[in-house]
Amino acid sequence: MPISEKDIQKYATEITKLNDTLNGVLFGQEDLIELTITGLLARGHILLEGLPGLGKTELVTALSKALQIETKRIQFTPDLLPGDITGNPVLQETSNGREFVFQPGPLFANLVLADEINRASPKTQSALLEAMQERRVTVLGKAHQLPVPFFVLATQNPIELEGTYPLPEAQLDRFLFKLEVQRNNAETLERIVQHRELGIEPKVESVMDEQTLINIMDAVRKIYLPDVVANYIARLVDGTHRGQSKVSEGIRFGASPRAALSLASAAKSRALIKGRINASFEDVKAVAIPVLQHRIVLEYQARIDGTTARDLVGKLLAEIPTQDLDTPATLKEKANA
Amino acid sequence: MSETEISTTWRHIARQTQAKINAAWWLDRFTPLLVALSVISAGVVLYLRSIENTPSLPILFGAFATALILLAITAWITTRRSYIRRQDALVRLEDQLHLHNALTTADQGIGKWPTPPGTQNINVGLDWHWPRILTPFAVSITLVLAAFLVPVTIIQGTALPPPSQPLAWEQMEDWLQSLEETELIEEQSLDDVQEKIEALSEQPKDEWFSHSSMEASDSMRDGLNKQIEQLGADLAHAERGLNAFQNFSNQMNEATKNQLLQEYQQALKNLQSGALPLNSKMMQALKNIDPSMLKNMSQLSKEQMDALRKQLKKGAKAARKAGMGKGGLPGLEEGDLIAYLLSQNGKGPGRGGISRGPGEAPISLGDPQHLGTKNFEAVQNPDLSRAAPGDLVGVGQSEHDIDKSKQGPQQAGAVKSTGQGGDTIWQESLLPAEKELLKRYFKSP
Repeated sequence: MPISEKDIQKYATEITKLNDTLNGVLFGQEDLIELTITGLLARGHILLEGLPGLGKTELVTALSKALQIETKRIQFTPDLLPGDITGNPVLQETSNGREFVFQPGPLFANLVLADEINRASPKTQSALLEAMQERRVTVLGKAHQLPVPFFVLATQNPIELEGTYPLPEAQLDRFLFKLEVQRNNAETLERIVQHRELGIEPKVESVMDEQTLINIMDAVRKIYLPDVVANYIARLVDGTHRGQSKVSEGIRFGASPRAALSLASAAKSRALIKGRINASFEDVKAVAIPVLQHRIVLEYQARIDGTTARDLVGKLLAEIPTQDLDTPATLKEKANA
Repeated sequence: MSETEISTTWRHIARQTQAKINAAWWLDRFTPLLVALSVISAGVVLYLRSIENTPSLPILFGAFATALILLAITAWITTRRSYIRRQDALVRLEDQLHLHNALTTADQGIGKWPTPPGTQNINVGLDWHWPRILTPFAVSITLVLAAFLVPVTIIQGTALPPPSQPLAWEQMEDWLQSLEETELIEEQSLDDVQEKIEALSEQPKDEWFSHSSMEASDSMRDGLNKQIEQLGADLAHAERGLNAFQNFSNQMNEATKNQLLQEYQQALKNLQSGALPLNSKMMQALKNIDPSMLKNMSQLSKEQMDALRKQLKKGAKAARKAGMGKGGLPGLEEGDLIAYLLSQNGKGPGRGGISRGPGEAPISLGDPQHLGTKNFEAVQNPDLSRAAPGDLVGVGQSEHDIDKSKQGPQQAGAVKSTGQGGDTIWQESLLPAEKELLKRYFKSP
């Protein structure tokens, strides 16, 4: 059953409050905040990439406070073991004698900040990524369900590559978005200096409870995705594969069907944030780069030429028309259209 | 504005957009066809104007209009796959107007229709490409008008009708007609030939031009042509003979008269026994002339002889005409023949073949009185490369070349010959192994 316009407006108002709250904590990162909320509402995990000190951790902290959900932070290091994040069985004295009791690890939280995820060994990375996909962990043959909602916001540093384990493409695919945290401009830095103080955490007002968040996430699933938009998503993802577009000449491996699902889910989420009952071409275009850029593998020559995945997705958006219809030669596209 | 009115407005706008794009597709296909039709029409109009019986203008315009309608239908049928639906037009509208797919959603009955803009402000992002549309129309109109206005010369009898029957039959019928007009030839023989032609024409029409029929026709035509040539030659001989006897008998010696008489009688014989014999009346008239009296020409009056000659001459002329000018003695007119006969003094004109000419050819070239029988000529063959085996190249006299150097007595066992030329090398220089090698080399084939 489709969601009503009234509910849409109600949820949009709640989301606006959350957005304003986060913007009051993290200055000059409006797009990052909107995409983070979009990703959360689409039930996706987010990989934040950026230099240290740009506010990644602060964003997560502010988010947890504003949403009133349990948050845990894991600092990934090379010696971190899978049990350190999933939890370990501990031998305890009980009324029945000694037995192993599962002690949940830091993954058992609504919002997990996986700091510098690329510093952990592949074994630990795999344990985290399995939890992200299945939303449960299995220890000693027993599955333990993770709480709902469950989000992972992972960060990685793009410049320090010594002693890191880059995430394989298959594991990157499990992140809904890969967001690049941009450096602040001088004006924003001035605001930060004026309104913030080193060592003192900003006060964040709680604007949404856990249940409301779950309701909004359910509402996202009810957003209408028109056939033409679904068709556009399909052609975009297909266009990342060899021979399907001009842009694909610079791509060795294209995006997976999971990318198409992620694109549709993110577009719906954005539509709800914007207070609309349906997803649109504009929503797809707005989330295409964060959804697709980490899911395509560039050709060697493209890398040599300095082309980035972000550039290629941008070109793909320009190449693939919203409608799969040709224009007759007796008509011409208006230049200002 | 109520929700219904808004939806009606949007759907109306969508239909207009749909019509515009579909019309563009139709024009896209129709304009090349229009240009092609105009080129063809211009060619047809020019051709029709160049022949005598030009169809009237309404018929031409009617045909052009019909072709135009057919092309329009063809263009519509072939571009149907490219035509967009109303839903596609809605998508185009919402994309151009940045309506976030609200029209598609509302059309599905899920959301509300957005407020429509003023009709004048609608921008579907597509403009007509006027040069591309108008140029083919302008070219077509120019071509058709030019075809009507350009001055054209009317060609008369532009095309020959295809032959209704083989050409050989027509030729033979023409020849028979010419011969019949002379009233010299036996009608039965002409009828026989005519029957043969009719026998050929009685076969089915689709076989008239078959290989066998054409071969038979050509063979028959060639045969008739030769008969007519022979007839013409015989008639000419007969007429010239009569003419010579009538007018020049007093200038001829006896031998010439005899020769002429023989030829006249031979010509009569041929005329009677040929494939195209003279008719009985003419033959009787010629037979009535007594050959023995011909030399004196006292049997017939001058008028009778003139009439007879005139008829023979007419027949020879007709035969020569029918036989393509090959009959008789081409190139020699009446006066020439007589002068020629008189100059030959009895040797008479040749009739071709190996005995032609004024007499026997001399047995030797040069002076026949001096045959050079007393001359001695040495047979020489300076080119020795062409000398045959056994030819005597030359005779010489010389002393024997004897080695007169003195040699002392030698013991039998000490006699040694070093040989000459290659033998010296063989005996003095080569080692036994080398000799063996050379033997093997020259022994092998």
